[in-house]
Amino acid sequence: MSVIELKNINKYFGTGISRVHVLQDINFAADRGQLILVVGPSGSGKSTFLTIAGGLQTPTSGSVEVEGKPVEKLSKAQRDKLRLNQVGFVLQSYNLVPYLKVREQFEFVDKIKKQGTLNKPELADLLKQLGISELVDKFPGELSGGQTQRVAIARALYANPDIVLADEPTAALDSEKVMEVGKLFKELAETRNKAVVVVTHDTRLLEYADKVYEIMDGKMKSATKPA
Amino acid sequence: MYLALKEIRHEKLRYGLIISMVALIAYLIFILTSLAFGLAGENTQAINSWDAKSIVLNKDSNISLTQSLITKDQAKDAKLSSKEAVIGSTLVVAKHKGKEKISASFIGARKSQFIIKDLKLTSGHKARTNHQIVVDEKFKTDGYKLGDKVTLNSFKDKYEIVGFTKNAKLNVAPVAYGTMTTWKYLRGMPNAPVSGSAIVSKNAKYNAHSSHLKTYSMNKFISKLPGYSAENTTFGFMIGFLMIISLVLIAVFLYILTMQALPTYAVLRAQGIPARALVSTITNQSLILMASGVIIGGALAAMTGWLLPVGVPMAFNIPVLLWISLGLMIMGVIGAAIPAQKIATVDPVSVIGG
Repeated sequence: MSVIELKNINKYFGTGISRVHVLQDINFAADRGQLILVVGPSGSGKSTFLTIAGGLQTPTSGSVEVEGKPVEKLSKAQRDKLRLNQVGFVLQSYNLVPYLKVREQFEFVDKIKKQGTLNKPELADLLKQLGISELVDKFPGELSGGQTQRVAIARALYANPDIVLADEPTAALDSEKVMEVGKLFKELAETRNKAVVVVTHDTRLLEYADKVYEIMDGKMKSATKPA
Repeated sequence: MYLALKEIRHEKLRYGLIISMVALIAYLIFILTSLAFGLAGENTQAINSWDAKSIVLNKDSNISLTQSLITKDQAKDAKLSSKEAVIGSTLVVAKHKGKEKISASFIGARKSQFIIKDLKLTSGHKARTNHQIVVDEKFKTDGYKLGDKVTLNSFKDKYEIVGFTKNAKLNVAPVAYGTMTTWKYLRGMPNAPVSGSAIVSKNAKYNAHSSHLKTYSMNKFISKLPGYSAENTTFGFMIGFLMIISLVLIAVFLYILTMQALPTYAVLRAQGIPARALVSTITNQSLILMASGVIIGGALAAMTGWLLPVGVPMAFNIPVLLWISLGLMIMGVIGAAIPAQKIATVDPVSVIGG
């Protein structure tokens, strides 16, 4: 069974003549241990797809299932809980709370999520894997773009989610860093058995993906496995 | 609380400034309140020391003690008990060679009635003759001492200060207690068939049985003291406005900070942090800011009270100041309501771009 599955998703915005069909009959599935890319140009519906997959928005029609449970039937508070426990977000910017040191970003998660987060050795292992063990006493403002992105990934994984949803995680990085992030996501998906879904228009990440979905004008092409 | 404290610690200058502003407002409120109480006290100290519930004045006196006169016949009809006392009141200027003149309120009273019987002295003894007076300690502060012989107004007679009493001010002027005979003399009617200016009673429903006299509650009488209500209303308005200013200040400040931090809150909401946790952050921040400001303002006010000269009429009424502090905290919570509403309704989708 897929960790997350989107079935016949349709999403409309607006009403009357300004009504826009943003997502059209989207079908998507992600399994544990896989890095899945959703690629497409700006305005293609990638972000809407991500927000629906993450339970931030509900589709106009269709169904989103996380571990076989339909998300659209959950209340707002239950969807908060779903995002806290099962979905980790890595966003383009503002990933981290600016006035919390790196280690405090994790402490804050502990204040909200009383159990189920990584324990100390697991966190140390994750930070080592991400190469950010030395940054724990730094504020986000003291980190480079690449370091900030790695800390954001660590923050998303700290709550030990089943799914990691990343929104344009390489938007502000140079080619070398893009390769690093791609490799890292691939490694994290495999070693930590997570379903990592990356929404991007950066084709440099293709070589790391297990599956690629292409989205164009709200329509998603079936998954392909990159050569 | 975690996020609230962390943000304040990280943004020391920003939050330091707002705490300073709250502290200054709290300080001003504490000082004004203490001044209001101090001045109100100086208006009514003597009255409060009598522990009387009502006062009978001539009905045409416009509720003014100095304008009122009660005749001997009226006093006789009034059937005075041990709970009633006749007083005579007039304004005097006390003079003594080489010392500053003091404007005082002369209260003439009978030795046998409770005004004089209950009078508590800090030194000396009560007036035994018509040329002896007991005065408020303000006289002592101004250099007068026991045995000093003062003249009152333009009269040639001298009156010896034989006792000092504490907290005896009426309408801000220190009181000089003497005999009824002296009062009549000072009013220029030594042989007139006049008993006094008023009858004060410990009985709230005392009736003087005269169509020319009217009984007023002590509160009503106090509210009619010259300038008393105007003064208190002015202070009340100032304190009220300062409270509202503190509310607006905290609301504007937190609103600006919240608007700046909205993307961060949106990210946290996207990450599944409940809105309730984020709303409590802003409320806690507001409470921390107000509490810090109130504590600093309170400390500054206490220091001011300690440094000010004795003559400045300030009375720190701790229960009232605690209520005001609580009021300021509530203002803080109300001030946080608008930014809290912004946080509660922030759309996490707004941070998913592209």
